[in-house]
Amino acid sequence: MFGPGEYARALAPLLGQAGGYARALLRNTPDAEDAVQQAALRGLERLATFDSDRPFKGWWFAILRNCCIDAMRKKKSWKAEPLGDDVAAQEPPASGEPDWARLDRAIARLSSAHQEILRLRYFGELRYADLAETLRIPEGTVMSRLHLARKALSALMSEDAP
Amino acid sequence: MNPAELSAYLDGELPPERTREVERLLAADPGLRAELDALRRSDAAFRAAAQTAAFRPPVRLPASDIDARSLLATACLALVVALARIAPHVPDGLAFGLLVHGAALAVILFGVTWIVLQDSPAPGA
Repeated sequence: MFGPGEYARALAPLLGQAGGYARALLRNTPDAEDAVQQAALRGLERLATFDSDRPFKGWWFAILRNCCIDAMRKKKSWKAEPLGDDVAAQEPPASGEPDWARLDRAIARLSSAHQEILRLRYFGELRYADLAETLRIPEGTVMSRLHLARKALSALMSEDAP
Repeated sequence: MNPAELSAYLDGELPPERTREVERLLAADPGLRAELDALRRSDAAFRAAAQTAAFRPPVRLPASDIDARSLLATACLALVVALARIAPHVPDGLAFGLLVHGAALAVILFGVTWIVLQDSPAPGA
């Protein structure tokens, strides 16, 4: 039995990753907060459809992903912030810090499928089983898609190297 | 070797047997090591970006077991108050016992329910 209390407890440790994932997708912190709140409520409504033999994180991130897509569709021109807007200045990054602008440009040039799997993997910190559940693809496809996405990202970042 | 296994190796997603096999191939193949290094660089860049971007949005869920606990605490308090009011109207011999046993019952009921709610297993995340 998986009740509202268990749902709240299972959800709590995912919220930091959910916030980062939604912000990476929506490029706007208030919209990301709304999407996570919406996903939390939608997950609660759909609790009866959750199969406890399947990964909870993958199931809930599929809901969050749909909420983010809904938000993008509803708000055709939302205020997009650069990926690292909250934390990165426009100046070149100090040694060891992420080069947000370069990463941002490289991600923008990837296919939507590659962007999607990389965001879920890194911002959502989803493992392969969770990715398979969220994207509804076999784990073998997760592995190959992620590999191709990384290779493409690596090549684009090398092209854009200062 | 399936090239995608290099990513799975980086992510720690390969079974132990395949991990050992990939490590053996990496030790023997400088080209494969260079490929892994390139993957590690983009992995590190993305990981750093994700860690910095992570934030915990405020999430409000409708009444759950937290409210159930408040309700239970109120019910237990109401039971003790009711017993205290009834006590003067029952024979002297029974009043004190009724009050003590009723209060004990309320405390036990509250404690057990609280522990059960707190220890309910979360589903595998």
